[in-house]
Amino acid sequence: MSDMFFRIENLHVGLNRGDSVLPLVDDVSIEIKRGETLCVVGESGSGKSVTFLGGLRLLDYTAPIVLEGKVLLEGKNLLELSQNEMAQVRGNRVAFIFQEAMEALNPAYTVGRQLVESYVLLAQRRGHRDKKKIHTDGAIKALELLQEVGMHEPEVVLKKFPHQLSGGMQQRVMIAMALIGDPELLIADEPTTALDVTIQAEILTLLRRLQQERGMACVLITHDMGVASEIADRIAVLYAGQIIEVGPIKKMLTSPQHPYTKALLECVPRPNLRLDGRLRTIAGNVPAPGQVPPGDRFAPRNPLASEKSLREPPPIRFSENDQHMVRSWDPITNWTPELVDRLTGWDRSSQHRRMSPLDEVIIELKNVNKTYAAREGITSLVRRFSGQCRAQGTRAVKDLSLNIYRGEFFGIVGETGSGKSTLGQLIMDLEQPDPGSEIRVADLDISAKRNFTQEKKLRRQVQMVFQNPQDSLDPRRTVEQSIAEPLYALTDLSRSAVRARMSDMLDAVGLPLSVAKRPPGELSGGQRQRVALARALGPKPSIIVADEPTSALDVSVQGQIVNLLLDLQAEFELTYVFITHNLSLITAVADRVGVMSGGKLVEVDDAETLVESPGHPYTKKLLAANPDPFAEMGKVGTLA
Amino acid sequence: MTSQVEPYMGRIGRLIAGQWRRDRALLVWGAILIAIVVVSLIGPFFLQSPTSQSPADRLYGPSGQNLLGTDQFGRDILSRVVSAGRVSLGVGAIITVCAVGVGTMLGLIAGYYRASSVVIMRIMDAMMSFPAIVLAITLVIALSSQAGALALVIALIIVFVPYVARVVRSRTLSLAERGFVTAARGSGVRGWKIIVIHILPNLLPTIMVQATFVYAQALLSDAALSFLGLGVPPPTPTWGNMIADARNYIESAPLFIISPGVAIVVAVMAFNVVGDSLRTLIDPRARSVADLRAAQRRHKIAGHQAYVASESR
Repeated sequence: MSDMFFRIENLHVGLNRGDSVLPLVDDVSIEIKRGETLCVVGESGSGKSVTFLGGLRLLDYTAPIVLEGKVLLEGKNLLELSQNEMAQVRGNRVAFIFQEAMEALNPAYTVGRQLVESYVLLAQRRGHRDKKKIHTDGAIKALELLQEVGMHEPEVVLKKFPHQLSGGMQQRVMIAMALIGDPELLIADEPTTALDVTIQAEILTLLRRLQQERGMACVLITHDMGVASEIADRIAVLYAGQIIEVGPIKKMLTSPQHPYTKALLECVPRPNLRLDGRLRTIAGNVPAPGQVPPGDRFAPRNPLASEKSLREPPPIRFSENDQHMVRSWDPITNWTPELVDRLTGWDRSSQHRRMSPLDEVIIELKNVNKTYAAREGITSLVRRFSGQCRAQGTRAVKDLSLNIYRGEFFGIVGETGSGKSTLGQLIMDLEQPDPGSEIRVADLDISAKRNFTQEKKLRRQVQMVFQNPQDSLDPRRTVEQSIAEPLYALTDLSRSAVRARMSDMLDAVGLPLSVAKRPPGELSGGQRQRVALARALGPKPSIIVADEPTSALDVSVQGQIVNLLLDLQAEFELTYVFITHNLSLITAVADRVGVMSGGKLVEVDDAETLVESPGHPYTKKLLAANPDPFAEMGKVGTLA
Repeated sequence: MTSQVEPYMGRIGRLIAGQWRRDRALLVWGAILIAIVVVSLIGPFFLQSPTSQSPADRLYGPSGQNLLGTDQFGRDILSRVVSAGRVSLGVGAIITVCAVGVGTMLGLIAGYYRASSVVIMRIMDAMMSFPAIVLAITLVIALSSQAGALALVIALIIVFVPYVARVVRSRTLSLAERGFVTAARGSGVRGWKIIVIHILPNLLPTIMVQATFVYAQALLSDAALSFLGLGVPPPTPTWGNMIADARNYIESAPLFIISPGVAIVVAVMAFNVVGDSLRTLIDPRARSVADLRAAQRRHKIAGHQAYVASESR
């Protein structure tokens, strides 16, 4: 046990609410060896970030938290240190990377200045006094580090401001900054969640390389089993503030013993496996802090749970060599397909409920262009009114032609900046295409100038579901008001008919009528997305444009929403335009997929054909970058 | 009946208790503010007439009859301060309501219809580039040959509109980018309806906070202009013209100048503190920092606390 240089022992983290303490993390113990990568996996709200950020005293600044237990770094208990002493530990020995690199970097200073500054701070803490020397050392170190994190022209990057770098580059700068004190432990909290798959793969490879070259220990917090499978040595699964299973990666991926681990794995859509039916999901939600069930915390969501596990807290079982731990009454050692199906609510008989596309074009795009003006100032306004419109700007969509058929589930996949969202907005008539573009939607020409009646007619046919339901629902309006909005605006229904339609729609998306009077803030992410879907369904449209409807949700919830979309398609005879960056998801469910890159549609094909024989190199690249927990293991690990 | 009232009272009680722990300033100064308003509103019914003169009793010190003494015409200072409060607070209220109303409208238009901001905001900038008091004096004089209350009110409304419009516009800009506005457009809702249904309600907290600052500023400017003789004409008392009257008697009757002075300071202070606390209250990040401070005050350091074990349901 002596090589365990970082150890969390019986850590409890609670939120002080004045008269009571709300438990967030409950009795977590885990050890990290030098030079290993531990991935901490769980759905949002399971307490993964709170464990590590709380344990390293970062939450002291943001919330009134109560810590109990031990967090040992080479035998020193970090919970007993003052924040001054902690500052010595952080940066020097432990460093952090966060999800939003843009938020973490100061927009007012150049990358170089920020890197040198953090070096200077550390050097001063270590007792160096020669200011000039520290600064030159810092500059040298910054250059070295930028090179180490794979920047091709570190001298150029040094002089840039954070906003001049792409998301992936920013994350590399963040990593360089974390490495400046040569830490022994790197904690990365969802470092790749905001990034595209191809960039994610690069960053993961980089992290793995750095960790191995430097012999650093690394804790990677993620909600995505796919990511964990690419980089981990060991995986710990957290649920409702408890660790429910820990083990070496191979064991965790091939023969997990806790149903939750298995379910998380099965929920990840796989690029090479087309599900003709529904996605696998986990029913329900992570229990809210303070409302955890008495027995096995996952039991209420587990269709395989025994009576006993519903009532009594399960024992902790270790494997013989102490390598694996599971918290369960009845660990499952032999997963049969039937068990997996039952666990993930996958019903073979429900496979054939899909409708097949008709031979009727419903969305017709011909030579569609969209240019965004560079800047809206007085000059550009004058120019616009004086008719010299075609100014310079970014062309988000370039000469795009595409037919989508009635009843089709059409996927559009691409990375950030590929123009996929703009395309969705054009179909929705939320953006004006450049002159010369032809867009026909449901037999309405939307590139021409139209009056309000025609616009209404179009909007009755096309509705949209947005990426982030937290953002797309007005926080000040109740669920009922949100769903009723398009009904009042687009249909001539009476008040009572609107109410009836609203309750039908809530029913259709699987929400109880009781949510009608509540504001969206009281609902979970998945429930909110259901409300957004109910709103879109209200006017009985024939087309729904869904712009990344699941990317803000957990994998388990993602499955629920996609399944709902599939069910509703058959029920309401819908055509879907499903915009996403997740290739494995879209190839699993869509009929046809269009791949976009740099504003162009580079490939359109059947989902199966696309996966089996991708025609365009870009599609191949996307497919290769997709993390897949079931692929041959340790894709990244073998690079070293 | 009681079963309905009790949980309600309980909730209010908890709210107040929670606020007390977090930040007492809002409660204390809020209470002072309410007291000032209540006294100004109903005080004049119980006090002597603020305009009845008795030259024989001029510039007296405090007595049982005149708690704060009398002024140079023998009028009761207490009742003059109280009814001046009524005038000053009233004028301030009219200015605030109008300035906030007009400013909100301009800000909403400039923020939602971007093109219009080129015109609207440049005008606002031009107005803000003058020091408030200079602009106010100029406007009062320009609006009316004989300085009257209406000129003062209109002048100050014009002065304060940009302060509201700026804030409202910047908030509107960010709200207009939010998903629910796009969603509403996709739902077939158009321009002004989106503003009224989706943007305005989400702006209300911001507007409320800005209104308290405008009110405080309006009180100060009103006092300053009255002091210069540009406000409500005598014999109607305002805090400003009382100070103007009293400055000649600063040595013989100090309470004469101190009383309205204190009234102005306390009222403006109350509005500013309440506005500041309200801002903290509606900003979740500021609120959690305030919570944290409060918790740290109660327990010296986090980390050595007894832990309440998780309760299972």
